Amino acid sequence: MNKAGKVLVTAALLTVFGTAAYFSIYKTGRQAQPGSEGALPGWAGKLTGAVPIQELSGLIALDVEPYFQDPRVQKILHDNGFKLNVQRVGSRDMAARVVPGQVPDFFYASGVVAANQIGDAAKKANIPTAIYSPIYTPMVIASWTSIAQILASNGMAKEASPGVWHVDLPKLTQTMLEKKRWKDLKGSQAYDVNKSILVSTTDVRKSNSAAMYLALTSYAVNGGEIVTDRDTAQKSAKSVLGLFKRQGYQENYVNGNFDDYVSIGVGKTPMAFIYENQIVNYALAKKGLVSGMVLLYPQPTLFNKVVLVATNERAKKLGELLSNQPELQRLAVEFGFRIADSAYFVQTTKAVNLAVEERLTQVIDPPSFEMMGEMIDAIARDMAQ
Amino acid sequence: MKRMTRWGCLAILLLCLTACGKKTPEQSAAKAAVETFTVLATSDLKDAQPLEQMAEQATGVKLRFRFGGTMESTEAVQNGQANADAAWFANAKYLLSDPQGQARVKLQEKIMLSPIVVGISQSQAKVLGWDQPDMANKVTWSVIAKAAKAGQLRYALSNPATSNQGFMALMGVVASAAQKSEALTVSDVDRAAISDFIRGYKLVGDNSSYLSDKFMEQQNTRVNAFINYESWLLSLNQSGKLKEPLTLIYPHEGVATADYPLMLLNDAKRAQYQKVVEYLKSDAAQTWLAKTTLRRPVNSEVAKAQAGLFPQGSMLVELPFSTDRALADGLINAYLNEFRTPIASTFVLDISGSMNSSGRRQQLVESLQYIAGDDASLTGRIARLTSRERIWMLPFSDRVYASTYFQMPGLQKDAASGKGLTPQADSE
Repeated sequence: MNKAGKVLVTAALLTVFGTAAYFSIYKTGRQAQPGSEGALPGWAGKLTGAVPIQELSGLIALDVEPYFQDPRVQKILHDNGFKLNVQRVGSRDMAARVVPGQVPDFFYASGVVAANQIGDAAKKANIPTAIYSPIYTPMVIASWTSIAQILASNGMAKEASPGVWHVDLPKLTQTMLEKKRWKDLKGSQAYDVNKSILVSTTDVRKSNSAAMYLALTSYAVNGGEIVTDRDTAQKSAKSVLGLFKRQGYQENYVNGNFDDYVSIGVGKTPMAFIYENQIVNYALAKKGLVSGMVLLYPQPTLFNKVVLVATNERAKKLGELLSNQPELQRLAVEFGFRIADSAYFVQTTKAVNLAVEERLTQVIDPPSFEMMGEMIDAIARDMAQ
Repeated sequence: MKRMTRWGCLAILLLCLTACGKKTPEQSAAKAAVETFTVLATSDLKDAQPLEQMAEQATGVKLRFRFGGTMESTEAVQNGQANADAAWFANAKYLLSDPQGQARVKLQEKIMLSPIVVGISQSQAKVLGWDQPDMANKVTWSVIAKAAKAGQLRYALSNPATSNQGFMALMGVVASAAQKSEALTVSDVDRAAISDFIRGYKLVGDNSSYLSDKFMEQQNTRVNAFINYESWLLSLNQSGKLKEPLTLIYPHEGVATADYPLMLLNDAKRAQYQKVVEYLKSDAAQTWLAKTTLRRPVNSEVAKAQAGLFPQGSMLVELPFSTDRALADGLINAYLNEFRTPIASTFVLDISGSMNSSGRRQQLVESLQYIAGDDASLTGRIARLTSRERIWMLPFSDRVYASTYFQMPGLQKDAASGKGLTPQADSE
């Protein structure tokens, strides 16, 4: 219709203007070139305190940004002789910042996969590193009592202790891959909708939490084995592709998925794959959860460790401090993270009546970063089509 | 808006003829921006303008809104020409599902919520039985399309090609007719269902204020329903200006909720952005927004406290947003070229001697070429001539000449039936 329209208009113009209308008749495809804006300049740590002490530069993951912004954390660091200049960077982009001569004192990455990638890059560049894992959080599915009960009626979940549910990951994955809808399930009166059963995630091409979901579901479709070779990676990615693609639009910022769960609710997000620290942090801030909200712990699940990669001696001291200084550890719990002192974590959550799994036993490791990369690339290629 | 955009193109062109070479307004804007935090907002947010003063008082940040249409604003952000520190749209899913758009947005936070719903005159709701909650809860977009076909639902709706409300309503019909909500593609489009739905589309317009004025005049004569954001319809009900109140129907499994993300574009203003967001999500601002604009708060405590402002009872099952560009473009094209009532335009063209200098005539020709479909931009695609459109060209110089009439070709195939959307193939 485009060209037909153009020809018609041209013909009409010809009658109006005569031959003058021949100018630039068949120019097509003019489109303004997008202007370019500068790259994201980082957030520079606003640190208080005037005493000039050890200044360390670090690239940190979004998950721990609020922790380092907390004045109490800054004060303890300061009292221990540290002033941090941190910049927030996506964990997967950190390895690219390992440049001899320009490498920051430390990286604080979300997940061992990203940390290993940094360690690998450092090794290649002959930079010695040490790693610390001061805090961690398990991956969970934030859901609703009504949903958990439907899953239970269909043999996919059980209430392990009051308010704490276990969900059988291989069974749930199988049900989702069969494209079952909620109303197909037994006893689904409370949620008898046409929607496919799917766990919502952020965009796997951008976000670590979605990559963790990929690690889990690929384990499930691979017969309960962690993916260790390329062929299996390709095959597994292909089988779980639909779990991402069928979600349609996915939030591409870290809290987007959780925000929808909290503010829009079960109508949009019956199940959201999140870091446990997101919901613990929320519950601590709000003094408990809204009624009906429950946590499903996938069996198995994975831990997301927040890993400090130190590239020099001074940063090693920081790693030790963050891991061992009791107050710094306890403050991390306020942001929802688990620490070595699990009794303190449990006590904190109990204070706001939040039911969490006290000891997680079914935990797997994620595949290597090469295998993760292989699977993410395979999914990204297909999603771009 | 289609018309506006089109004349806008011509107006800009004509301005250029006289004003080329003048400095762009950007330099002066950049200077003023040092202290001001400018937000490009979609025009449906005009009711939130008092927040400028409120936020300034609470945070010290000089918040200022600039309003624009959804489509142009999306395009401006995408192309890096928003000339604002942040953008605030009812729905930014298109922007954010595009890599170029994603790169523009440095941070984002949802501020409030409002689902798109059908408001129907109480008396007509009774006729259809939709005044009974158990009936109302079962009304799907397919049921709505059937009522439209039967002449029982005659509605006002903003242009599906340029507005989020209009577009999502069409999407709702597509999903409902396809009996699925995820992973919709072009092949799922049931054209008969859309055609049924469009039969009830009696009041067309590009902005909600215009539609509201017309709706008040024509309620229960020409129209008996209004499809728009819940906030807008609740406000109309409160205004006391309607002939009778509207009963709100939340389409079963087909609710599309606007989530109003505030998006940081200018990274240098991160600190101000964070202050503004913190304020907007505070109890005070969220309560004000809920009470004054009738949008649902994202702050869960305020949501609980103000729950009484919003109809309760039905579970709002959200329609997943399809990121399939072919489906979106196909649907908009089909609407413009196939389903909607064809429009008529007259182009009054200056062919006097003065047009011969400085290439003016050529520029006029080019601008008409753009309208004929040369402009591949988002707004250009909407502004261009569509199938079945009737056009008069009326030349003048010192006098007016005879006009030339022609009609854009229609579709040869049996429109309004079958499945899928055939791309509008170029024909010679």
